Amino acid sequence: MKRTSIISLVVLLLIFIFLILRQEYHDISSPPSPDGCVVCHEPETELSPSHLLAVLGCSSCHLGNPFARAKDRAHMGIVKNPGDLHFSRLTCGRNGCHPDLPQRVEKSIMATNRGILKAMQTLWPHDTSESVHDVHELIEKPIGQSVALDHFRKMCGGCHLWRPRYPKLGEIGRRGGGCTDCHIQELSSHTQDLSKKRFRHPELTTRIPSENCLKCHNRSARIGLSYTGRFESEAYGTPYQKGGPGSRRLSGGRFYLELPSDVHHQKAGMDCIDCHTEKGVMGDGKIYTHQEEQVDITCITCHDPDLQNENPDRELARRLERLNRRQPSFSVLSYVISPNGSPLYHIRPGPGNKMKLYRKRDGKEIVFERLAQPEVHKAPYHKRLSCQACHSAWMPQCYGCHETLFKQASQRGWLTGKKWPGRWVEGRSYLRFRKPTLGVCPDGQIGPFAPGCQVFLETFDEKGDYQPDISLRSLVMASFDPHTTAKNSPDCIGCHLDSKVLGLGEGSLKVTGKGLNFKPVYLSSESGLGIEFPLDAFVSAKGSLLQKPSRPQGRPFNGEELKQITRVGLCIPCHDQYDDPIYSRYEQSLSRFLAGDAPCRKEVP
Amino acid sequence: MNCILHFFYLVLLCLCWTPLSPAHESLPYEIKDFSSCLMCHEGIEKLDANHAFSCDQCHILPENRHKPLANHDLIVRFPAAPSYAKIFCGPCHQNEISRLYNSLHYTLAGIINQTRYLWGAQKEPDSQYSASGYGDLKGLPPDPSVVQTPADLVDDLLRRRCITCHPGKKPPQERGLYRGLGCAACHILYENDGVYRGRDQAMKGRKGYPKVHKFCNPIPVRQCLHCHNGSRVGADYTGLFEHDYHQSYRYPISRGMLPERIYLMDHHRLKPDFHYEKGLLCVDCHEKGDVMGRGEVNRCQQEAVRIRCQHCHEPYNNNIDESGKGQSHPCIEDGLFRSRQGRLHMLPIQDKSVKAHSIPQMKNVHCIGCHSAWSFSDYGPSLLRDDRRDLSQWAPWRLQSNSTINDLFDEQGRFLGPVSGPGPWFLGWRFRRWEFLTLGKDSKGRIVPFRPRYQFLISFIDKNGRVILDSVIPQRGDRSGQGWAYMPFYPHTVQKRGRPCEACHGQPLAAGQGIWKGQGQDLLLTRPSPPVYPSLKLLSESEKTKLLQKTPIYRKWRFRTLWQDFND
Repeated sequence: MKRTSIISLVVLLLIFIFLILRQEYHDISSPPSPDGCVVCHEPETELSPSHLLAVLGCSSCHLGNPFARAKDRAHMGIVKNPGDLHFSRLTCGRNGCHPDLPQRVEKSIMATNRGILKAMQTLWPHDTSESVHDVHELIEKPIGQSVALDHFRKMCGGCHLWRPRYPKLGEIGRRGGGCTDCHIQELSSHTQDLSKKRFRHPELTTRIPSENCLKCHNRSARIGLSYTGRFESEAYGTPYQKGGPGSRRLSGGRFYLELPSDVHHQKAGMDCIDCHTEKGVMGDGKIYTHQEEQVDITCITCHDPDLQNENPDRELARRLERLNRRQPSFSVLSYVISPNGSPLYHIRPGPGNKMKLYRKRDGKEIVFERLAQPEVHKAPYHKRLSCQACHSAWMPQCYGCHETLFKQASQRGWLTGKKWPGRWVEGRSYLRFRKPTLGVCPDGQIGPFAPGCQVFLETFDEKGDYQPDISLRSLVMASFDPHTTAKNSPDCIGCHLDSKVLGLGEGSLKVTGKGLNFKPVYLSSESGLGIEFPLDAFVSAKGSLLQKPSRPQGRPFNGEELKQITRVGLCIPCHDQYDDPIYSRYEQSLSRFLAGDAPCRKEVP
Repeated sequence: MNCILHFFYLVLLCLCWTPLSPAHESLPYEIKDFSSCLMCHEGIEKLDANHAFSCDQCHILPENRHKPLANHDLIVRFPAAPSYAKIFCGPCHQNEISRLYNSLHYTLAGIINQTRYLWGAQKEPDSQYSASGYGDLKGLPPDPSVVQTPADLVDDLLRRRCITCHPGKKPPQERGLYRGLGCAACHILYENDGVYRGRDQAMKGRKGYPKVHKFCNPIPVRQCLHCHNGSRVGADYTGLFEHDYHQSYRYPISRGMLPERIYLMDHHRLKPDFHYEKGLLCVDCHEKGDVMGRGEVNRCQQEAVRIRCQHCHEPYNNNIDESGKGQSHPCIEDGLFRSRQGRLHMLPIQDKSVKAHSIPQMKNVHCIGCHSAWSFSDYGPSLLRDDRRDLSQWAPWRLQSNSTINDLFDEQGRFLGPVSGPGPWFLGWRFRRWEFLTLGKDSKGRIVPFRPRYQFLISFIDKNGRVILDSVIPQRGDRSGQGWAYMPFYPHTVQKRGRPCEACHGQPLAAGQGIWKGQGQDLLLTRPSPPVYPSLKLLSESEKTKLLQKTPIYRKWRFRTLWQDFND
C-alpha cells in the first residue's frame, strides 16, 4: 500500500513538473492569446509590437468564433487574410484600430486602377455601355464584349489591392491581399502548413521593404526596376548560366540588365517609403484618376523645403515616428511637410544648409544637400523645367506594344480566375535605355516622356479570321518620373540640339533660320508598322503632334518652342554657363547677334 | 540498232525522272531527243555571248563527256563550286580563280584567324587557316576529342555556326539565302525566293534554282545580301537591322499578317545608305579587286578593300592617302559617274566651303566617322553549345538567324525531337543598338567607328548534361589578355549630312569610356577592348581627353558649323 502511494506520488509529481515546464515553454516560445484559437494554432512569432497576440488575440483580426473548440464552429466566418479589402473594414478598420484607413485605401489609385481603366476605355475598342470606373466595379460586372476590358481583365488586372492572395508560386503568389499586400514581411514560402500547430505568422510592418512595392511596380513604367538599377532587357537571358538562360530573371519569362540605379538608392540606400508618404500611397480619402494627383511629394519637398511654416499635424508626426521605432526622437520639432500637408517626420533640418533623413527601415542618418547653385536651379529661362527633365539619367523605353487577341484560344482573367475565349499575345518592336524625350507635362512643367503605350492591336475571331474593325493603332507617349535620378545632368547642348530629347526621335537634325530639317533613322512604314512616323517621334519638325500624350493637358514641344529651344543651340557652343550674361537678356543679345553687332559675329562672315 | 538504243535510253530516262518528280508526268511536251539536254531543258537561257558553250562544257567533267548520259549522276550541278571551278572556269579564268582562292570571300581568314586567336587556339591573329583549304592557307584542323577550354571548341563553332556563308558551302534553302556555289555565288543571280523564272520548261517555277540560267551583270545588291545579311556590312546599306531573337519580337502583325521573314529573321527598316537610295549597287563602288582579291592573302576586310570615298568625291586630289594617291574611280567619265546600270550620276565633290570639311583638326577623321547615320553595335554575344538531346528550353529563342536551330522547332515552338551528335551553338546578345558609336583608329591612323565584335562568353554542356564551360571569357593565344576585341567598322549608312559634332565630342561612349563609365557587367561592354591587330588602336588617353573636352578651338568651329546651317 505504502509502495503504491509512493509510486502515485512520484507520478503525480512528474505530471506536475511536466505541466509547469510545459507552461514555461509555452510562455517563452509562443505568445499567449486570450482566444481559444491557440489550442490548435500556436504562432511562433508576434505580428508586430503594435499587434501583440496577448492583447488582440486572433479573432480581432481573423474574426471567426474564438470561444468554440470544434473546428467548424471556431472557423465560422473566419478570415484567413484580414487585410483583404473585402473584409478590412471589419478587421483592420474596426473601431479602435484603423477605422479611416480601409475607406481611404479603397479609393486610392492602387485599389481602383482608375487611370489605367480610363485610358484603356478611351483608347481601345470599347462599348461605353460596359464602362466602369474602378476595379471593384469591374469585378462585380459580368464579362462583356469590350476588347479594352477583356485586355484589362486578362493582362493588367493582376496588380490591384482588391486582389485576394492565392497560394501560387513566384511573384503571383506574393501579390494582392489588400493591406497585407504591402504591410507584411514576405515569408520565404508562399504557403503555410496550417495543419501543424506551430507556424510562423507573417510579420506586419510599417517599415515596408521596397521588394513589396516591386512585386507590382516592375512593368509598364517599370519605376521599381529603374529605381533599383534594373532595365528589363530584350530577353536574351545572357550571360548564360549552368547551360541555360541566366538567373537575372523577372516574372513572366523576362530578364534584366544592370544599369546605374537612382542616386537615392545607390548612394543613400533609400527605400520607396523613404520618399513616399502614407497619404501618397494609401490615398487621402479622395478619389483620384491618376497617380500624379495622389502622390503628394516632389523633389523640392525635401531638397528645397520650406521649414518656416508652422508644422501642422504635429501629433501625427509624433505618432508615426513612435510607430516607426527606428527614428531618433525629435529634438527640434521641425520636419519636412509635403505639399498636401503630410508630415515627413524622418526628414529634418541638418547642420548648415544641409538636411538629414533617417531611413525609415533602419533609422540610418543620411545627410544631404539642399538645392544649391541658384543660378542653375532658379534660372528664369528654365523655370518650366521639372527636376526630372535634367536629372533623369535614363528612362526605360518600350517601343511598339503589339497586342494580339486570338479568340480561338482561351485565357484566364486575373479578377475572377475564370477562363473564357480570347487569348492575348504580347510583343514589342524594340527596347531602349536612353535619355528621355522631353515634353510638356500635364502640370505645365517640362518633363520626361516615354512610350506608354504604343498599341498595335490586332484581333482574330473564333474562326481565326482577321478582324480589321477591331484592330487599331494607338500610339501614346506618357510622362512619368523614371526614378533614375542622377546628380549630374546633361550639358546644355545635350538637350537643345538633341533630336531625341526634343521629341523628334533619333536622326539627323539641321537647325536653319527657316526652321528645322529632320531626317529620322527609324522607318516605321517600311518596317511594316503602318504608320508614317518613327516610333520615337512625339512631334514632327514642324511641330505637329504625332503621338497622343497620355493626359489631355500634356503635349510635346510645339513648333514655336522647338524653334526657340534649338535657336539657343547656336549660342551654346560658346555660352554654356548658366550665369553667362547673354542669357540674362537673351532676346536682346540674340537680336544684337543677328544684326551683326555681337562680338562673336567676327568669327563668321 | 540505233533505234533500239534510243528507245532503251528513253525508257531509262523516264524511269529515272518519274518517281523523283511526279509533276513531270504532266509535262506539256514530249521528250523527243534524249541525247541532248535541251530535250528536257528546252528554252534554257545561254549564259552570255562569251559563254555560248554546249552544256557539257560546263556541266560534265572532261573525263565523263564521252560517256552515255543515262541519268543526272554525271552532271555537275554547280560547276563553279570550289572543287570544280578550276576545271570548268579555270581554262579561261585561271588568274581570277587563283586570286579568288586567296581572297577573303574564299578564305574567310579574318573571322577565322581572329576568332581562333581570341579563343586561344593560335598564337598569332595573322592568317594561317582558311574556311576552304584552297589557296595558300590551311583548312581548319579537326576537332579535339576532349573539350577543356574554349580553344577546343572554336573550330567547331567556326565550321558549324559562322562560316556557313562560305561560297563553297550550300546555303540553307530559306528565303533570301538561296545562292549558287563558288563563282556562281555572285555571278549567277538567285532571287530571294529561289524560284527559277526563266524559259527552261523543265525548271520553270522550281525552287532552289537561279532566277535564270545567265550570268548577271551588274550584280544586284540583293545578290550580295544572300550572305551579307544580319549585322554584316551590306545589310546596313539597305537599312536592315535584325529584330531581337526572343519570340516576343516576332512583330508587327499588320493587317492580320506577320511580315514575310527574310534571311531567317524579321527586320527593322532603318535609313538606308544615300548611295543605295540613289540606285547605286555594291559593285558600283567595289570593283573586282575589292571583292575577288588581288592575289595576296589578307587578314581582314580593311586590307582587302581599297576603294575610298575620295576616289569619287575627291577624284582630282593627288594627296589622298597611300593607296588612293592620285586615283579616281574608273567609272568616272568627264566628271560624271557612270553606274554599272548605265546611269550617269552627278558627283558631289567634297565641298571645302562646308565648314566641317575645313577644320584642320578633323583631317584624320574618316568620312564615315561623321557621315554614317547609324551602325551595328551588338554587345556581348553569349555562345552555348548544348549537346543534350532535349533542347526544348530554347524554344523562345528559336529564331536566331540559324537554320539548324530553326529546324529544331515547329512554328508554334514545339521541340521536334531529340538531337544526336554535337549540339547546335545557341547565340544570345546582351543588347543590340543602332544608335551607339565608339571611335578608334585604323591602321592608317584615321579616326573611324569601331564596333564591339568579339565579346564572347562561352558555355558548353555535354550530352550528359555536365556543364564543362560556364560563360567563360576566352584568353588570347599569346596570353596578352582576355579574348575580347572591338574592331573598326565602316557603316554603309552614308548620309549626306554629317552627324552632329556632339555625337562624338563630349561623349564618353564615343571616346571609349563607355556609357556611365561602363559600370556593372552590362555597361562594361560599352568600354572597348583592344582590337585584334596592334596596327588598329583605341583612342589614347590624350585623344580621349581632347574628344571629351570642349576646347576654345572646338567651340569656335562648332559655332561656325551651326551658323552655316542656320543660314542655309
